[in-house]
Amino acid sequence: MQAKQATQLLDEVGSIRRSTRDLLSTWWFPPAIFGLLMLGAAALCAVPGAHALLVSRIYWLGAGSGAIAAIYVRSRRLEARHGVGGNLRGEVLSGVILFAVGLLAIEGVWVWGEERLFGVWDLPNAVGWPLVEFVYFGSWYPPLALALGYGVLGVLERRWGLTVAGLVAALGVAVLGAVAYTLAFRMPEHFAAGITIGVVRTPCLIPLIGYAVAFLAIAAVFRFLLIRPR
Amino acid sequence: MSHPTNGIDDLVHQRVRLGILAVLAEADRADFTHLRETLALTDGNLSRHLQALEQAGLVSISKGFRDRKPRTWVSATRLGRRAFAVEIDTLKALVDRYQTEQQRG
Repeated sequence: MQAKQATQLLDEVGSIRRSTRDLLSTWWFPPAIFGLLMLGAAALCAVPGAHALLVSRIYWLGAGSGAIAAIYVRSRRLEARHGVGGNLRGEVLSGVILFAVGLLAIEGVWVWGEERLFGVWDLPNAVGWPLVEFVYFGSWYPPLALALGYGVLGVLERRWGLTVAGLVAALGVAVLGAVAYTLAFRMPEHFAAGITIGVVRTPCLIPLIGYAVAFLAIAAVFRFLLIRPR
Repeated sequence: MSHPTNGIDDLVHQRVRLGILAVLAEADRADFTHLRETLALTDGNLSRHLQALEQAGLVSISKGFRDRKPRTWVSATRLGRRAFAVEIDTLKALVDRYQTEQQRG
């Protein structure tokens, strides 16, 4: 076989793979939908402190479960329309990961002291702690969950690009979380829109928007900078 | 060192079969119509290639219904994905070797 033929064959195969991947370009959907849910949750910052936890629980259980169901339904519809089935398991799993990340991020915003969302996380620094004198670091659960979640997903799906993307996304969420928390803590209280639990004023609006922007940025990266083929 | 062409698998190397495996390397499964249209084949032609790949254990074929219409789904087996990856590596090695020889003059 001649090298010219091999090059031609590789080009054809590459083209087929790209067009298939374009049809299946669904990895952006889970982070996009959860980013929008984060933005929606920003409205809950207006709920009085006494009811905030209950409302937050109801919102996230409903919205998160609904989002995972939407990911499943969308994937099935795309499969029926194009006749080519995407990675349903991976997409739903990524929705579950983002749900967990969302809960972990929200926990830092809404919960302080004895009451915690589902009561399984136990680090007070989820609310944001001073890294140095003038920089606050947000919760490190969301970046950790993203890195671990997409790391495992990348291994399961044999897509190493996904593992790397998870690490980059985790770094992005950590940076944006830090920016958001620093802004929130340094801002005059009436701008920061937070809730007071006990004696602690916890910023709400800005961190939520920070996480939402991070999620939407991850979606944009998945949508426009496609993951390399496995 | 053996020549890269020694790594070519005649079953996979065939252009249409490589195209089928290329689709299935990206998708978990593809239906018969999608493969036929993507690769611009006739029903009979595609059927023959799928049969060859299935007999070699490189793809699995299942049938189902959607909206009361029968659909045939094809997916690559683990062996099929591996064979495809080896074939692509072999082709790349062949091209690299040729380019190296060209540079040496």
